Amino acid sequence: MKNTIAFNMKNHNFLFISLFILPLIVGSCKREEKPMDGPSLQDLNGQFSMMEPFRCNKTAVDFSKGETAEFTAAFSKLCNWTIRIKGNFSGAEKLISGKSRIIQAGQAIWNGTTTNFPMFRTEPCLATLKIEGVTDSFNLAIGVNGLRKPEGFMIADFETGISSKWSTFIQSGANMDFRVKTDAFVVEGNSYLNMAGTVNWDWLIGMIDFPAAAFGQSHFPLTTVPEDAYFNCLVYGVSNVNESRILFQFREDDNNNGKFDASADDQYDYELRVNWEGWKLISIKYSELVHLVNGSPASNNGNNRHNPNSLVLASMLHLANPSMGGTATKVDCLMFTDKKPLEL
Amino acid sequence: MNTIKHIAATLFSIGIVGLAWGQAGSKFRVTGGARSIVSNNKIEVFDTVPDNTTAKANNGGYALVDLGFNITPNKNTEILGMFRINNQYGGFYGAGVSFDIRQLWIKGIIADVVRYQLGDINIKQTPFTLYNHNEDQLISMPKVFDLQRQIVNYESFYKDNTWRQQGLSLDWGLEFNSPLNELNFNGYLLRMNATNFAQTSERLMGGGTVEGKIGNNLAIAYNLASIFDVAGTAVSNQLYHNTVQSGSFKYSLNKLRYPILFEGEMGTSAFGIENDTLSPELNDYFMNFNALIKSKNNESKFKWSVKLGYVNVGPDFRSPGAQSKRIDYSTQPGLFNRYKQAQVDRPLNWGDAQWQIPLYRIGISTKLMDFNYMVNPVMPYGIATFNRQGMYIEGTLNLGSQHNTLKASHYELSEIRGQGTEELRNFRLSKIELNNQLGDYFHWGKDLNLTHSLCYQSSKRNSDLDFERVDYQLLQGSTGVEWEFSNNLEWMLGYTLSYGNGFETRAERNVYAEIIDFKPVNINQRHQVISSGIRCNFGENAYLAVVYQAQQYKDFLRTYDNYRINQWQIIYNLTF
Repeated sequence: MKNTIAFNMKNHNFLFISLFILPLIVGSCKREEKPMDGPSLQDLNGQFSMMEPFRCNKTAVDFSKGETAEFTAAFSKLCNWTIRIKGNFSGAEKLISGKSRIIQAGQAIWNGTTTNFPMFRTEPCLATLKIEGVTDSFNLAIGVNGLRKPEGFMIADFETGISSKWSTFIQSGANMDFRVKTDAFVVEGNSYLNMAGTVNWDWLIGMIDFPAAAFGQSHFPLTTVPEDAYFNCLVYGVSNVNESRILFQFREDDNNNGKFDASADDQYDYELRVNWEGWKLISIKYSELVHLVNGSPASNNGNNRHNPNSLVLASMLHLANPSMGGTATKVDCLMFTDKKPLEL
Repeated sequence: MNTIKHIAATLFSIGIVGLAWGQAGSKFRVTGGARSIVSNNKIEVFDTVPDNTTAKANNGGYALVDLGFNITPNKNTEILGMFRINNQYGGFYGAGVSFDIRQLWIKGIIADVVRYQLGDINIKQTPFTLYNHNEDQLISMPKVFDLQRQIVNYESFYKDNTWRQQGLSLDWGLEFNSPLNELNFNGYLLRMNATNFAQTSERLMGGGTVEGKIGNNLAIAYNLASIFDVAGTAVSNQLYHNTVQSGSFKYSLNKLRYPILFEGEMGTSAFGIENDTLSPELNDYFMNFNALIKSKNNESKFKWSVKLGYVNVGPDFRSPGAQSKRIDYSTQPGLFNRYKQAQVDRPLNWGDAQWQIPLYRIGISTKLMDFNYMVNPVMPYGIATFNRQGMYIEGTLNLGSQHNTLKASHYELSEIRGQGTEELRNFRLSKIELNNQLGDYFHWGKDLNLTHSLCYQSSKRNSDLDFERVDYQLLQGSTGVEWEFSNNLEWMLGYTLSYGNGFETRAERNVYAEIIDFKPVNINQRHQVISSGIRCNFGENAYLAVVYQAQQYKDFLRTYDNYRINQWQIIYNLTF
């Protein structure tokens, strides 16, 4: 009798498990929905072919009006791709790269900026799509009808020469060439500042002060947040000359008396060693500037806080070791930008 | 160092013996075994480049004694301490002698209720939580090969699908009146690895089973196996965790004309590494249900059973306790590890995978271990192999009591998630084994046993794209005879092969076992071993055997890798 009762109980238990618990457990189990494990074999081993041709949404683009050029293409497999846009006259280059099966609208956008200087001019350009591992390349012609206007506070672009409102000091050394030029080295606009010469008795070759008053301002119109303010400059490294150094100085008016007072205000500095060849865009966050004395970090005399909105004077000094002999460099487009480095 | 070990072992044995003698009423006995192997090995390499850098022959051997002191200080406590003395032949003045502690455990019963064991523990749970699958030995082997397999099992502590770990385990049970008759608890805590105080944290494994028996026919259980790092035991704050939980049941219908046993288990796994931004969180589930129908024990001369099942193990199911493999294919076999003029690693052959002790590991690995396409590509982690679903059928037939046994099984599986493609692989595994004990069957008074087994495996993936296609087949087989031609003297002959042909794509995985790349694998290889020997039995627990063995590795695509190993062995084995 006991066995019979037990058997019935077990039947019920088994039915209970079968009908209720197991379906509940099965129903509660979830598995991640993934199409496959690992990288696609098609991407690794498939034959490359263009599924959609290389296209641009414009044949000519005017960046001065905020226009952009968008490139699209589609491939049969995942590819490392690079679009190189080269100016026919300037030789400027813009590189856009990525890894995808499809270059979608909005993915490869050219807003008129430059990767390899000089900058683009209003000129015809050639856009070339290169795929890693594929010998063929794909070309498109695109015209630049208007140039991009950099956003920010321009300190100096030297388009109208050296302003009389700036203060300059140029040593009387040998082969001094400290002037604005409009030759083949032009990177932005039509001119740049050349700084060259031999001064064998002093580190300083020449300098320019850019007071806020030169721009009709009591202080440079910058943000109060030092992490948001960027100083930018295009610098050209000349080959086969002694190392140039450019010292940028930023003087603040912490006590708000309308001028920089070395005993009561902060000064921040940025020393740049020009040890490359060609044009290079330099950008530094204002909050990363330090006070230098003879090239070494030192204490400030003001409130010891970065206050870009208190900046009253910016200076650029071209330096070189006097024992080394002559040196040369070029600069252009000294500029402050807000929240991000300068894009050219 | 040897001196220190020597002293330690001596002190240990003296201490144990002293302890035993010092206990009034205690029982003391010595257990263990002894083994000696002398071997002569030669390798023949079929490379076109003359080899002047590697040795082609070697002789060697060892004698070892395992001495275990089994002490029962009282009726509720048992202690075993076993140490090993191993002497390599050719060791000069003890230079080749080593002393090791081989086993150490204490077990007993607390208050006549809770059974415990401390120290070395052989432990298992269910096939998906903690289980030592024997997935790389799919086919049964003739006795001439089984001699070496038994040595591997002894050395690696492989017994009843348990893993040898160190820690603590507890068992206790409760009995009730109907309907819940019994409630059994089993819990354990194991130490997986020690901290190095820097990047490696203390890693433990804890878990247990709660099983309820309802009447005579139904048993249900909850199983937990969790591996985890202990926070604060190392400088690194990255903490590994892998937890497997399952529910299982057994339900039998014994009163039917043909008794049926329903079994099932299903559960989940969760893997991740806390504070490691690169580590994935893998969560998945599995299920395995089957029904076994069989003849009644007393009904017929022909006994049979058939099991039909369904298994579904998710692609992200991770269970180190159940997916650790016995063979670590990243190690070397210990015999002619390097060969040819360039002294490159010798590729493993089928024989190596069967009985080369250095390949076999003790204990669980938390790293997903690699598998070998010449051994088991279909279910490399046993029934717990992830990313598999399908049906299986297993059957046994005994013709004339136990003397002639036929076993067969077939698995028809497929992937759940494609690898590198949405196309799925289909797998097939068919196995058949036949054992004939002709001597017993015909009442000859002496043994004449025949053993045959065959296993076919295939993996196939169809696709319109060449590089997605997979078509690989593997055939393994063995046949052998064991003839007792005189009292306690047996002649043994065996042949086994593994033949793989086709192409596959091997998944390359990162440290988190994620697939990061695929490599094409083209295989056309035949590995075969033939062996013959004479065994002299001294009672049930001792034998002396002389065995000759020839292993051949033949790669039809890379013939310059081919080789053959000929081996003579004298094996003496004794257990007491």
